[in-house]
Amino acid sequence: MTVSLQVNGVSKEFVDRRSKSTVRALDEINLEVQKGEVICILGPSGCGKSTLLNIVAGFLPPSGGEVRVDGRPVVEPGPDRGFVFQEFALFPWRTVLQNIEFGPVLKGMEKGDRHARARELIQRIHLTGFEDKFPFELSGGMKQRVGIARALANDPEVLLMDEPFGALDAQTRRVMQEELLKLLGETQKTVLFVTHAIDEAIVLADRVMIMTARPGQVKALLGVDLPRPRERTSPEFNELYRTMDDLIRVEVEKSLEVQDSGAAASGEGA
Amino acid sequence: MNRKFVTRVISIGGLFTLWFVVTKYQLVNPLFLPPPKDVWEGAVDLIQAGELREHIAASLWRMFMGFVVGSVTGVVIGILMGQFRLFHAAVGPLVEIIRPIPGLAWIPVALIWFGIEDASKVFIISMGVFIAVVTNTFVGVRSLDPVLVRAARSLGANHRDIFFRVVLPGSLPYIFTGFRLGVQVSFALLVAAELVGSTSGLGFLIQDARNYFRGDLVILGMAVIGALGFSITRLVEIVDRWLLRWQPTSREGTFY
Repeated sequence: MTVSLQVNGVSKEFVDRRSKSTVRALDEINLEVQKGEVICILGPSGCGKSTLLNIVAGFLPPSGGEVRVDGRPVVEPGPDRGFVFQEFALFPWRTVLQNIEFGPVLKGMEKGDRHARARELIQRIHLTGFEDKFPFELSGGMKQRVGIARALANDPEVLLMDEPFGALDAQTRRVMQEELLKLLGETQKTVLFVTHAIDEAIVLADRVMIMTARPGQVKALLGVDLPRPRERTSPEFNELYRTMDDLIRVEVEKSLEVQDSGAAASGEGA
Repeated sequence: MNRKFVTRVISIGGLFTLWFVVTKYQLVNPLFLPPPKDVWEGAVDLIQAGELREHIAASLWRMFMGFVVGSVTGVVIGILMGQFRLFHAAVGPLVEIIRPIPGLAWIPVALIWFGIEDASKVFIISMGVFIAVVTNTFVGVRSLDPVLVRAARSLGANHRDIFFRVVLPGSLPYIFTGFRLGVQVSFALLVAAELVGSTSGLGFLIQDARNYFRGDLVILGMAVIGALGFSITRLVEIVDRWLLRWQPTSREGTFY
């Protein structure tokens, strides 16, 4: 096993513009991810899980610590880290095929090669026949399939997914989870997957990282040793679900208390 | 579609019939409104003399040049303003000062600076088009979803790629709104400028005909301006609809 992604003591502080005070969003996060491993990050809203993902992507600089991908330190966004956005973020003026081949185009890949690669991905996400459709003509699930294919077209070392199925309905979500697992099985990508759905984390992850309320720290790192495909109704699944739910619930309550006292202090309480 | 077409023919035909009847029975002084036959004969004369073609060519050339100069500078400055805070801080106020000055107010100063040849018309038109395009382009750049820039960066885009492959296509709907406004503005300014000081062009044709009490040619000039304006607006709409075919809703602002 080789290490694909290292998060070494990453912290992040923001300066609140109005109060001019410093807010600590992430506190000394450490994580080591093996090649091909799927890590899901769970935590109460505002715990900084998306911030962590943005730092790994290179969208935000950390205030302290560093991120290494395949041994190289992250300084800016790059094609070695594919990003899948909750809001899909497809280029509306590009067709399905053109969206998927965006990365290869930037790399200067020849037209024939990049078309072949895009078409192969389109086949794998079951969108054959939709090559020339524009994003507005697609459903949410289809859009996110394109979003995933677009990230995979660059053959990245790591796939970063920020609540990618958060904007989809429950049925579509399930289907997308299954399809993602199949895709990942074929590609052996290292994945960092942010979600707030515990069942989603258990279905997908090799390990689940649970974060504390702000400032976000690693509260627990749990391995999911259930055979795949994972049955949501199995006792083991539910046992794990309850364990994680208990861990997170405490943090959610804490974050609510912090919000309440913060609101009271600044005189913004209802 | 078919019904719409028939309705159009009836409405336009109705106007001509009214015109014909009013002039035929001398309900108004022919000096004010000459009959269709006179206008037609005037048109034939002008076409045969090659004069009409020259006036049209002169007007179109000025409009084209003014439109190109105004829209290119408008797009470039609008994007720079949207992309760079410092540039916006420096240039924004200048645009804001120029913006409320009606295009017509530039006519005297343009005549002083550039004389009555083409340059003054090109200048006046380009000022009007520039304002329409620069403001819309700026809004377009600013309203671009920043998540698209992130997506592009994570796919390996550098600054140049982001400019040409994200910011420019992303602001295109707004840029085209600017173009459409620009076309309307440039027609108004062209004719106004030619009416005031010119030796050729459709505006001059109207003005000159008026001086010689040639009501038929006044109406002919106006009709040609109307037809040209209609055609060019249509042309822009067709290009617009094709380039922006990736937009979900059918675009508003089409009068027809």
